[in-house]
Order: sequence, then structure tokens, then C-alpha cells
Amino acid sequence: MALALYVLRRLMSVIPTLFGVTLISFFLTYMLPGNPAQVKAGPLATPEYLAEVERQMGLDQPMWVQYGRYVGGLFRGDLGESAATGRPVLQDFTQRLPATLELTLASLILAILIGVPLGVLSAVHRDTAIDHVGRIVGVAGVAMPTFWTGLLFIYVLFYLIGIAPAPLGRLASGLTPPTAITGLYVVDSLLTGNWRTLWSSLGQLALPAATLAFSVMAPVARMVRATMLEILQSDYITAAWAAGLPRRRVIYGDALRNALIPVVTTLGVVFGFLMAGNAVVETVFAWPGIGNYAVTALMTKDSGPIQSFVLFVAVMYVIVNLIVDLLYAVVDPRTRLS
Amino acid sequence: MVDDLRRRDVFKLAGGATSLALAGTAFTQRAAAQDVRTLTIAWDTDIDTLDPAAFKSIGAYVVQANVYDSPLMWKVQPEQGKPGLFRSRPGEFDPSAAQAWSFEKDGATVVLKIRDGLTLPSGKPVTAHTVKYAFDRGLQSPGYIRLLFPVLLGVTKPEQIVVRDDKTLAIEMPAPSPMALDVLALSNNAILDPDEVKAHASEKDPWATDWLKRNVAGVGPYRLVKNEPGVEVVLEAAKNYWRPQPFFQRLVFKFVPSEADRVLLLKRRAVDIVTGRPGLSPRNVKSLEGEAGLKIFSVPDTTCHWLSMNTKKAPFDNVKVRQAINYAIPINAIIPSVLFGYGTQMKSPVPSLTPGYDDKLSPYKHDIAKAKALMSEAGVGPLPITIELAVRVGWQPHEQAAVWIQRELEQIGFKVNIVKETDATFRQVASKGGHQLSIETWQSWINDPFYHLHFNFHSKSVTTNTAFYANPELDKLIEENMRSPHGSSRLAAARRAQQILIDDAVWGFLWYDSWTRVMRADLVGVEKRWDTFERYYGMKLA
Repeated sequence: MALALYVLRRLMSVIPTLFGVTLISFFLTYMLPGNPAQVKAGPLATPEYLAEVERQMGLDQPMWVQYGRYVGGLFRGDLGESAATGRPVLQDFTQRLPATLELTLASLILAILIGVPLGVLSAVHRDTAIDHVGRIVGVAGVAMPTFWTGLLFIYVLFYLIGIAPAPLGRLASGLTPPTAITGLYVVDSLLTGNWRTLWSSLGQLALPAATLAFSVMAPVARMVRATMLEILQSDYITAAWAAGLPRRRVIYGDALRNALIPVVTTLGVVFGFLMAGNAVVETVFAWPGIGNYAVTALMTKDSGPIQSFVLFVAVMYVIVNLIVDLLYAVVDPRTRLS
Repeated sequence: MVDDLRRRDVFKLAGGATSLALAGTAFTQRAAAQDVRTLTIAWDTDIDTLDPAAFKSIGAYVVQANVYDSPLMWKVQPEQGKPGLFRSRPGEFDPSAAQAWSFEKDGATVVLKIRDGLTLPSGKPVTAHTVKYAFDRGLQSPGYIRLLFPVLLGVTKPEQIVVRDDKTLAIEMPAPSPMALDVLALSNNAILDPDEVKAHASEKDPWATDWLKRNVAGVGPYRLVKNEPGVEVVLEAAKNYWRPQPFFQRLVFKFVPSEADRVLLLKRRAVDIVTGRPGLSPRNVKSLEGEAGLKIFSVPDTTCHWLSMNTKKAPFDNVKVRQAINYAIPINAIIPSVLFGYGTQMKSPVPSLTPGYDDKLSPYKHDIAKAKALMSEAGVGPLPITIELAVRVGWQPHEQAAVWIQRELEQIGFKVNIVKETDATFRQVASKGGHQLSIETWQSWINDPFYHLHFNFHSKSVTTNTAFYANPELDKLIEENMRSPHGSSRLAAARRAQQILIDDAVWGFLWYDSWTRVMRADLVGVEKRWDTFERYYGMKLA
């Protein structure tokens, strides 16, 4: 009951946030220099024709009327039209959002699978070779730009060695996507028992997910290491050692469980960062997600996709933060009391 | 204890890596088994609209040129020394949906004879009424065709397109137009199925522009079977088409936004050809020279790149300054260092392949001493004058050329700031006359000197005359020759126009692009026409 109330209160607080996001995304796009009508009308357009295109696109209206239309459209599920694809932005998003989500989730899982053990190992073997290697790998991941890491992976694994598939999106050529249930190809292939698409989508996902995971693994590992070090020195761990509990149980049971609390917060931030920041990786791997779409839209000041991208990322942040707060309640009983 | 933990983890990691590697081998096996009748093309463009009358993205134009026939087509001839490549020549046409054409009233009326036995996908015959519908729609629907017909042909209303009988259509112009046949070859004059289009029209959208954005309804060698933005576009050979079936039954256009990937995909043969504009930068084309299994086709083209100077703004309102700029442009360095030879020096305001082009008129060459002398004659000052040079983000050769130009202009008394703008910003600022200096580009699909001069230099072409140049003598020359029979006096007028523009140094001459494609070595039947869009119909494997 208390938890339900908590969730409800949190959801209510989301409304003003989202309102603020619509304002910011609209005005930022509005303030961007450039005239999208000119891009659409083409070089041969006469001034009269250009004015006509502007009228069609509603660009001749005052700013607040345009904002009103935008928000009104949002309520009707109308996000405008994309100039690049000629389709409603909502349709483009429905198609592309699962691609971004799948990539983000895969890289997050990969980052946790590598980052957490790496952090634990670094803490347990503090100042040994393992710790140093962990640090170097972590720093390299943060320091190397993702487009570069991505290209390096493609160059070595696809071009030179030939074990990775061509960086051509989510599925090998000629395969049809699995029946859409979640929109995540890996999950849908599993659910429908389509092993060929499962295999292919896992293969396509491997390099972009590894590229992204590489860039965010370090903060996870560092955070785990720092909290683990602190906890390993605390009294109850000493007591656990003294009681002769098995090493595994002390490290992975008692210590790690408590060390994960701040890590959950980090993961929330990392997830948001991945959602918004994978535009580059999407471009490098021809991954048909929303990041790649928004970058193209920026060049032509295609407002529908840009505004929707900002809005979607903001909504995702809000949802993830909510989940993180709820997870907190699960991981850390103290938050439930307060 | 400690060692134990470490070792176990290391083993686990190693095991994981090995299984990943094994998995990878299986992932790639599929790629090799490709159907030889499928051509895989990499590009970086989506389709914004397939409405024939609308201005559209490069990808949309490429698809339009392959799913629709127009009444005529630019004829192609084998290119000397480049087996497998064909190219159009000025003034040569092939029949297409129209099997013959003739002129009446000294060329003021064009008569088209519609091909016998030509049918729409619905099975209905293509008649003169069908073709008239395409023109009527162009003249009346939103889109830019209705802006072109009045200027180029003097055709302003549907009544000028006359159906004489089921198979004969006449286009009645007020005067002969030397551009008429070129206009009839434009892919925008697509032969549509009027019934299909009307079935998708509404009161608000009487020309079904919305439906035609994503649907194809007409005669053409291929049909659109898939259009998934950001992923791929698939075309398949049309059944019951009037010409023999093409070699490539299936065209798969893969969306590959990263140029580095396009290069690697070509090298690994995961794609057969890269298209688009530019598709590959000159630097990358250069890096692919001599690559086993690949070949490069590169021929001169009509795309112009120039340093645009706003002739209405100081200091570029001064002809001496503009001449000085033309002497300061280090074109002999830009061609090898920026274009890697995939371009030629611009020696006239009209393209080198255009009738009437004269490369003997321009005195300009890189000569800093002369440029400095002209600057002091110009009497502008005090030096240095700070100016902005605008280029578009991501237009690699422009960004690089700007740096070369900056360095030379700073030698003759300018302080140059390079400003990079997005496409949308660049166009907006340009149209408002906000650029002092910028690198502009233009291609005339209609390869006619006065078409080119009209849009780029006539004082009334306010949105395309990027220099804001106004010269009554030139305006008069253009107006007199826009619709006059093509002959020696017209060519002389074209030469006179070039002389005026060169003397006035209206553009800072940079380069003409070469049309360049990199593809698998056994691909032949590659055709390059004036609009640059490949027609895949004639392509095959040797």
C-alpha cells in the first residue's frame, strides 16, 4: 500500500517535468537557425513557392501558435511529420525505438556482466596486476570515442578477421524480422522460437553492444570497486571472516549486495546516457535507432524528429529514475522506512 | 585461495571469448551466399517522397528514375577506354514511353507518338491521355514542376498539352524551346496510372501527393517492394514491362550512414556498388584505387563548385576584389590535395560539357602577385579585411577547400573566418544574402547553357543567383536565348555571356566534379546520364 502510494506520488511529480521538457524541446528547436521549408522546397523554389511551403508546414504562424499546435498534437499522438522519410514521426519512432532500446539494454547488460566482476576483482585484489589492468581497460573505455572503438571493432572483426557480420543494421540481408511482440529482435526471436533470426540478431547486436558497453563499463567497475573497498573494511565483513564463512559467500553475498546500492543509481544514469548517447554508435553500425534519426534531422532542422527525440529521451530518463528509486526500495530496506 | 579465484575467472573469460569467436564464424557464412541476380547498393539517404512532381532527396530521385519511365530518355554511348561504362552526349535522345517525336511550327510544337502495346501495371493501355495526365499533374499539383514548365517551355496551362488521338500528344509552346526534349527526359515526368492516382486523391489532396509519397503507380522497369527508412529499400523487376527483363531482378539499397563502413563493405564485397551524393569522398575513392576486385568509373560531369561572392556587399561589390580572389584561389593545389584528381578546374561559369562552353576566355590562374596588385588597385581598405567564408557541415571537399582558400586569401589582405553551417542554416542565410563568401554548388540536369545561366545569373532568379548578380545586358542575352532555336547564334550568345561573367569575376572559379562510382570489377552496363542517377536496368555482370 505504502509502495503504491509512493509510486503514485512519483508519477504525479512526472507531469510538470514532462511539461517542462515539451517547452524546452520546442523552444530549443525553434531557436535553431535554419529554415526547414527551404530544404523541403529545393533550390529551384521561387519566393512565392517557398512562402507556400512555409504555410503548409505552419512555419508562418507566431511562435506560441506553433507551440500550441505541437502540444495539441502530442495529446492526439501526432508528433508531426519527418521531412527525411515523409512519414509521421510516430510511425518512425514505433519502428526505431525498439532498435535503440534493444541496443541500450544489451550494452547495459554487457557492461554489468563485465563491469561488476571487474570491480569486485579490482577491490579484492587491490593494487595487484588485476586492479591495474582493470583500471587501464576502464580508462581506455572512457577515453576512446565510441565511433573510433566501433570502427576499430568493424575493421578488425569484420574486415580483417571476418568473424563479425557486416555492420548493416539489425538482421542479416534477406532475413525477415521476427513477429513483433516486444520489438526487440532477440526477445521476439526467442518467444517465437525463430532460431535463425535469433542467431542473426545476436550477431548483429554483438559489436555495437560491445562498443557501447566498453564505454560505460568503467564507471560501473569503478563504482563497484570503490564501494567494495569500503565495505570489505567494515566491521560486519571482518566478523564474517572471523566466523569462518566461505570466501565466496562473504564477497559475493554479504559485501557485493551492499555495494550494489550506489551502483543501481549509477546504472540509472548510465542507461540515460546510453539512450541519448548512442547516436554515434547507431551511425557507425547502420543501426536503425532514434539517435541516428535525430542527428540526420538536426542537419535539416526537421523539428518533428528532433523534438520527439528529446521528449522520448526525457521520458525514458524519468521512467528509469522511477525504476531506480523503486529498486532502491528493494535493495535498501532503509529507504522504505523513511 | 586468491589465486584460485583469479584463475577460474580467467578461464571463464577465455571460454566466453572463444565461444563468441566461434559464433562469429557462423554469423558471416550467410553473407557469402548471395544471389547473382541481386545487386546490393550502399547509400546514405532515405526516401522523403516519390511524388514525381516534388523536389526530393537523392535516394528518392534514384528510386524514381528506376521505377518510372518518362516520355523520352537521354541516350547513352559507350565511353572510350572504359568498357562497361556508357554516358550521355548533348542533344541525343532515346525513345521511351514515347516511341517517336517530331516538331511542328518550326519547333514550337512537339508531337509525341506513344509506344504501341505499352501497358500500365493494371493491364490498361498507356494512351496519350495517360501521358497528358502526367503533364497536367505536374502543372497543377504542389511541387516544383509547375515552376519549371513556364520558364523552360512557356507551358503554363493544361490546354497547351493536346491529345490529338489515342496515341498522339502535342505540346504547344509559344515559341521553340531548345530544352524541350531535355525536359521530356526528366524523371519527374513519370508515366503515372491516372485511375490509381485518382483513387487515392481526396478533396484536400486532389493530386494524391500524400499517397504518392510512398507508393508507386505507373510504368517502369522496377517496382518498389520495400521501403524501410534507415534500413533498406528493395526494388524488383516489373513484370509485363515493355523492354526485356533486366539482368538484376532485385535491387537492395542498404542504408549505411558511415562512410568508413561503406569503404569496408565494398572491400569485403558485402555491397556491389556505392551510390548517392557524394557516396564516397575523393580521398576514399583514391584509397580504393587498385583494390583487387573493385573498379572505379570516373568521368567529367556538369556539377559546378564555386566560391560565391555576394556582389551586393562590400568588399565583393568591387570587381577588382572579385578578380583578385580569382587569382588567389589555389586551384592547382585543391584539385590534387582535396579532390585527389576526381574533379577538373573550372574555367567558365558554364560546365565544360555544356554546348557553347569556351575554356579560352578565362585569364584566371593562381597568381598571388597579380591578386595583390588587383587588391591595391581596388582601393579597399584598410587591410586586412575580416570576412566570413561559409561552408556546409559534412561537405568534406568544401570544408577542406575552404582551408586552402583561407590561407591564400590571407596573403592578399583578408582575414578569413571559416563558418560551418548545417544545410538548413546555410540555405536560409544564403537566400537572405547573409553570406559574404561561401562555397556553393549547382548541377544543371538540363544540359543547356541558358538553362544554367538563367538560374545562376539572371537578376530575377533571386533564390538561385547566389552572387545576387544583376547585369541588364546579361539578363537580355538570357531572355533572348531561353526559347530560341539552338544554332550558331545561340552558341555565340552563350560565349558572350561567359565573357561578361568572366570579366566581372562573378564567381570564384573552383572545380567541376567528376561523376565517380566504385563497384565490383565485373559490373558492366553502367550508364551515366545528365541527372547523374544510375539506371540499373542496363547493368549486368560481365
